[in-house]
Amino acid sequence: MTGVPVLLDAGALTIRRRRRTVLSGVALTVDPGRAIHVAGPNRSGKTSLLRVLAGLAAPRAGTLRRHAACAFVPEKVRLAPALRCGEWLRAMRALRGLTATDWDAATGASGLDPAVLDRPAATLSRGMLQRVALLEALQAGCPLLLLDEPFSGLDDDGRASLAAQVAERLEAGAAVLLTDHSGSAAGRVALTDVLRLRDGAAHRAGVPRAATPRTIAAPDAAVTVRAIHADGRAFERTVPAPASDDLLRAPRRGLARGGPVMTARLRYLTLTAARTRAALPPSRPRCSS
Amino acid sequence: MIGVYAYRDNDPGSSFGVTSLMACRLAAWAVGAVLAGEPDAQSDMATTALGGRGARAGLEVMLVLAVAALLTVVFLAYPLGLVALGVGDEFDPAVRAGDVVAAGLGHLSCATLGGAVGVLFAPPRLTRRATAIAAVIAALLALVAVSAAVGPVGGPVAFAQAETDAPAGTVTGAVLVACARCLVLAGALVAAATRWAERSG
Repeated sequence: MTGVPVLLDAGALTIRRRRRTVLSGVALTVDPGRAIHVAGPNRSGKTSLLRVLAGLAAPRAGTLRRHAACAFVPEKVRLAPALRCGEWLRAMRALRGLTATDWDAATGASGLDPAVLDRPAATLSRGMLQRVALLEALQAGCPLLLLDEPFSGLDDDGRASLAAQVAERLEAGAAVLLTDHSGSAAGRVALTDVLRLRDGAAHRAGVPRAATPRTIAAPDAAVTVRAIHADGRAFERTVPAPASDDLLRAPRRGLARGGPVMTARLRYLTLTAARTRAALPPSRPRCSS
Repeated sequence: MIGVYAYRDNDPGSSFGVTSLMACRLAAWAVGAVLAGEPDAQSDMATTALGGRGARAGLEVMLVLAVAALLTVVFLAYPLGLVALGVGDEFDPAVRAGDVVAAGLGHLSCATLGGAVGVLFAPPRLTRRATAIAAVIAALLALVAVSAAVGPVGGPVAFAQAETDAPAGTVTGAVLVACARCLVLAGALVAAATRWAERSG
């Protein structure tokens, strides 16, 4: 692994929550491109671990070094009721020291109605707030994403959009640590590791085969999807194979992910998907779909 | 403040001493209210974006200083504005530059200390609003007790006493010591607040 920058390095962490020692002896190294599922029963310390890794709480013992900026999205996203989403997104961008971005385009590309930017947080549902917060985290370009139950509260389109965006970030070299009680991540995100928390300890393991996305041809394969509007407009997008299922499903629900074509204007959509075979190692068998 | 200056022929030192104590309490309330008004999740995301609790403390210090500066301007501008407009005889003897400098330093340092008290008892350290309010009141009362015990280095009350005792138009050493003590205490409280947040967060 020489030459590969480590994003996060933790050793012998002891984590306490109030007067209870939640975890002890946690060692964790996060490399770019890893998607780590932090799993475990209730009160096993998943959220506490993410909060420590995010810098929100200090471990009682052990070492923790973050070598890259990180973004954290809690399970229950709440914003100040009067705060407009656009204002919050711009403020977060400023806090990160990033230049301004076109949030209208970003929200449209993620399947959200750009009108959401002008709405106060109090008028948005939990799911919508979650999508806005996830959009902010994913657009920040942070190499380290810490997502606490990111799929909970999202509808199918939201989950598909999130999976596609996470796949893009993984492709770009980011690493993701996420908790997921709903089981939604297993079929949508190309998880590489499971960090299982049990009885105050953490055990890292590979991802069971059944938990990988169904249509994966190879972890590094890519899929090009072309959506063609009835009036001839089209968009084309190449995504990692793990995200292709969601990308393919989304337009059928009337929502074109990541493209310039807005949902409300779609009347007819044809879809073609061509696997870029050059990216497929010939020796690797295809998982059943 | 209106009550203070409703009277005429006020002594500048003691008047500014009283309003500096008000600035301390008002800053504690204002900073606490701002921080408590930010939902936990929003605070967590912002803190992570900043880079952790240490960076968040920097943002909170900026908030405290902004509130302190605003209160200082208000508490000085009101009486001085009345004097400038010739509305009644607010001060006797007349305010001199030294009084204004001492008052500016005192209000700024006392309000900074009050703001730091507000930070100390704001979420995520104390999440119950009633507990936080009680803690702020207790801390402000403790500052009075501390002042009585240790004299000129005792914080806002010490400043008020020093400012009251100072000759008209001068910035005495006791005033400067009291101001410095307030700022040192404020720094210690912010550091303690950061440590507390790391443990409770």
